[in-house]
Amino acid sequence: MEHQSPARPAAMDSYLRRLRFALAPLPPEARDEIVREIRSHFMERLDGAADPERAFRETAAAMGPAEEYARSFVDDYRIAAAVAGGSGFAMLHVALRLAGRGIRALLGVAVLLLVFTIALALVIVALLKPIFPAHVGAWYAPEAGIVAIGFLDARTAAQASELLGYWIIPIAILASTVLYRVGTTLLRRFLRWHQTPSVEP
Amino acid sequence: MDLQAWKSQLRKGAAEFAVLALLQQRERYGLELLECLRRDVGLEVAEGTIYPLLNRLQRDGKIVARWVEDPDASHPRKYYRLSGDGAALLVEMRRAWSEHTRAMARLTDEEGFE
Repeated sequence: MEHQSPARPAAMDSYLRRLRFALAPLPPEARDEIVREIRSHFMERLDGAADPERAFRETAAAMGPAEEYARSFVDDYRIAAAVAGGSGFAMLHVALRLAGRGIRALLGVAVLLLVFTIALALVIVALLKPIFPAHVGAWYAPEAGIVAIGFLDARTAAQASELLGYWIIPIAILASTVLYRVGTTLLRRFLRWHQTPSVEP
Repeated sequence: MDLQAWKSQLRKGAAEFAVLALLQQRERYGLELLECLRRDVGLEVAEGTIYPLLNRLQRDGKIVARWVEDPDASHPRKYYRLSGDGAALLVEMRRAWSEHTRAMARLTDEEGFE
C-alpha cells in the first residue's frame, strides 16, 4: 500500500533552507546529507499527525532555531578537522571559538593559551640569545628580586648573574617543544571533551 | 556539586554507549534510536541531538549508514548499523562499564549505603 506523504508546512522548507545556509562551513555532501536527514526526521514527526503544522512547530521548537542547531554540526566538523590535522595552532584557533560557550571552556582555553605563550616565549629567548648574548638568559639575583628567563636591559643585567650561557638555547628549545606537545595533547583532550554531545533537553 | 549537573555529565557519557549497544541489536534510523533511548534506556535525549552524535560516529568509522525507502513510510530513512570498528569499541566500552559498575558497587556496599 502506497504511503501518502503528509502535507509539508511551508515553515519546514524555510527551516531547512536556513539550516542549509548555516551549515555552509561543511563540505557540500556532508551538508546535503544532514539536511536530508533532518527533513526525514520532520516528515517522520508529521506522519500520522492530525495537524501537520502544529506537529512541525513543536518538533522545530524542540530542535531549536536552525542556526543554533547547525552550530553543533559545524563545531564538530571544525574540531574533527583541527584534531585530524594535528597542528596545535589550528586546534587552538578552534578552541578560541569555543571559549565563549561557558566558564569551563573559557578557563580551559586560558590555561592552554598560557602554555602556548610560554612555549613561544622560550623560542624567542632561544632566537634572541645569539643576537643579544649580554641581555638574554636565565637571570638570578634574589637580593634584587630577579629570577627570570628572558631579556634584561643593561643596567638590570649588570645586577644579576646569568646562569646558563649559550646552553639556554638548546634548553629553551627543548622546554618549548615539551610545552608545545603538552599543550597540544591537552588541547586535543579539551576539544574531544567538547565534542561529546550534550543530550539534555 | 549540583546533582543535576552531575547526572547530566553521567548521561553525556552514556549516550554513545547506548547508541552503539542499540545498533548492535539491529539496524535503526535516527528517530527510532531517539525513541529507544528515551523509552528503553531512560535517557532524556533532546530532539535532534541524536544526529550530531550519529554524524560523528559515522565520520569516525564506528557506524555505517544507508538510505532506505521503507514501504511503511512516506519518505526515505537513513538507517545505521555498527561497523567492525564500532563493534570492537562496544566490546571495550562494555568491559569498561562493567569494571566501573563493579567498582562503584563495591564502594557503595563497603560504605554501607542504602
